[in-house]
Amino acid sequence: MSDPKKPDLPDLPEKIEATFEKQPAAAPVSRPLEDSSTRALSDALSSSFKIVKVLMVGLVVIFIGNGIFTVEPNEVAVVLRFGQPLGSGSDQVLQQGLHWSFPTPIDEIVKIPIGETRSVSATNCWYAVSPEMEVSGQLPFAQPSLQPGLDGYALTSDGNIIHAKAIAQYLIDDPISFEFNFLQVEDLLENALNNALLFASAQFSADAALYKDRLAFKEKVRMRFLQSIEKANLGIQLQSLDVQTFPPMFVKEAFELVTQTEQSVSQMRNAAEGDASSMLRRSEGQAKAIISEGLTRSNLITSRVVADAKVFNQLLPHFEANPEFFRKRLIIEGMGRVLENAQDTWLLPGVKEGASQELRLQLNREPTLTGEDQPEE
Amino acid sequence: MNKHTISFATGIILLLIFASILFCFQVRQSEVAVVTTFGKYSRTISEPGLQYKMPWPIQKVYKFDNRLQNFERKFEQTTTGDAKPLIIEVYIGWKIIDPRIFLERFNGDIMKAEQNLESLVRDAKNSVIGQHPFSDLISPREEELKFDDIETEITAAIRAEAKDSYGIEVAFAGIKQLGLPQSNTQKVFERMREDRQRLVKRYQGEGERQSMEIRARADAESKRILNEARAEAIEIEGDAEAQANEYYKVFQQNPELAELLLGLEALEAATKEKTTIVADPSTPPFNLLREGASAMQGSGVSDN
Repeated sequence: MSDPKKPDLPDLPEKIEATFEKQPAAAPVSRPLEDSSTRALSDALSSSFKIVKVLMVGLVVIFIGNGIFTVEPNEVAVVLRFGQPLGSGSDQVLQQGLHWSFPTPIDEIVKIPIGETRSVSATNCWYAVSPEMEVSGQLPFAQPSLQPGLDGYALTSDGNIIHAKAIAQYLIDDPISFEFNFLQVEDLLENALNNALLFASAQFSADAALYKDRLAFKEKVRMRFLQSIEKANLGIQLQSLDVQTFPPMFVKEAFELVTQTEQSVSQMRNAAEGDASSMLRRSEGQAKAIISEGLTRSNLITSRVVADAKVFNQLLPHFEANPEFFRKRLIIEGMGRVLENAQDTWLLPGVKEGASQELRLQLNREPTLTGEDQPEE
Repeated sequence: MNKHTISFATGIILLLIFASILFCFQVRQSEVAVVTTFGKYSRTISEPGLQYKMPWPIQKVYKFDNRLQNFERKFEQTTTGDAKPLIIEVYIGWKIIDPRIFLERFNGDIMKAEQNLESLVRDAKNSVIGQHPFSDLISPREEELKFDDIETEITAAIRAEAKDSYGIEVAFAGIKQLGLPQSNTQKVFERMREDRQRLVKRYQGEGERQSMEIRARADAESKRILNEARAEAIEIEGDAEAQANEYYKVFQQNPELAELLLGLEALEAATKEKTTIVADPSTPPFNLLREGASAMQGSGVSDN
């Protein structure tokens, strides 16, 4: 065993150096036996230290294991590492599946439900109703005026008042913008929808918004709402929009009366057109009958003349042979036919030649005669 | 040696964690931060990420959410440019853009900031609305409606002061609700009722007028059709008469016979139905009765 290297002590006094040199190497000293308590303490500390080491390793494992997370099918996730989104562009958004990240506070997982259809309602222009009334569809009683701040309504272009409400359903289209650019998206959407209702109402008359042009009114609300969404870059996509309009309860009956009047006027017009149509058809039928009757009479005239001419030609030679006899014969034969057709025949009593005779007749009116057949008085 | 290495490494990790808590902080994507040193402003951090600081009480970090927030004014009455009362509620979208000013002005208190915004928005709203007539807010033509202009003017009126004095950026302002004083709504309702009553009368009058016009047109058309038909029938009969005249030339050979034949024809037609004949005994053939009687007297048969 080599001697321990002497320290280089050039500056020490020679006395110290001589002491160093003179002192012989210490002889091995036999150590005294340790007591049990010290040993126990030593063992305990050793065991404790092992437990602490195990715990520390366990903590590290847990620390790392906490970084495992899943993204469900109807959501996406964004990992913020020290507050900053991890990745760039579309890589910032994690789709469904199992993922790992460093646990808090290194990484923060932000989950955004994009598959869920959300809805927002704008009721600032609607009746003041309780939730129970809203569910049951009950309307409030008619009031002669509306209280600002309590009763909602919209002003129309003709200075009238209507009630309107809208419900919009949407999906999250841009989760990064939706989550990290806006704090109260639902409030902003509700205000944008209320603004759209006001904007549309201001351009439509009450009748148009309530009855005549409801589709155009709804479209105007939709366009204005979309414009607000795009301008603010809210990161949502509109799925559907339902718009309802209603007249104020106090004038509801008056509006309904107008609608009923319009319907009855339409019915009146239809009835008039129906009457006109049947009148024309009837006239056309009568016209055809008149023309047909004219044709019939003309045929009768023609055929009768033709027959008369034929008879004349046939009788002419006989007449010319003996005019006096032929004349009497024709008259007697004619009289015979007349008397045969007569309903009554009265023969007056004979009087002496040259004497006059007064005849008085009582004529009874036919009770069945029509106005045209009444004899002139 | 291995167990000492593991212990050493674990200790280092714990030390790093402890040190990071003391000396590091992170600014989230939706946040801005202000660092003060012994209460005095040091720096502003606008970008997200890991940042370093001295531990408290040397330096302190104030973080603010810098996302766009919604603020709504109360539904209050104002007056339009043409002196009409109007109740209006305005909302704005705002965000913290200068956190230093925001911290110094409001000590980071959002409520205080909104209280100050409230007066700012009220003044801007009253000023802008006071420069526009009521018709700028309701009009049947979109080009005459000044909705967007009014909202833009309110935004512009607020923006500069909000940024310089409060460290706030006002992104937009919008009208959330418009209304009239309660007494005005009553008058509007009365007018609406009167308008509806006038409409009812007008529709009824128009309906009756149109119905009468339709029937009158149909009646006139009907008469025209019938008159035309009658004229045509007369024309047809006239043509037949003209044609008959050609045949009547035959009768000129012996007008006496023609007159007799036509007379007998007319007599038969006239006495065809429901005729009572009152005849003189000398009328043929009744004159035969007298000749018979005379003949019977001559043969000695009495006529008693």
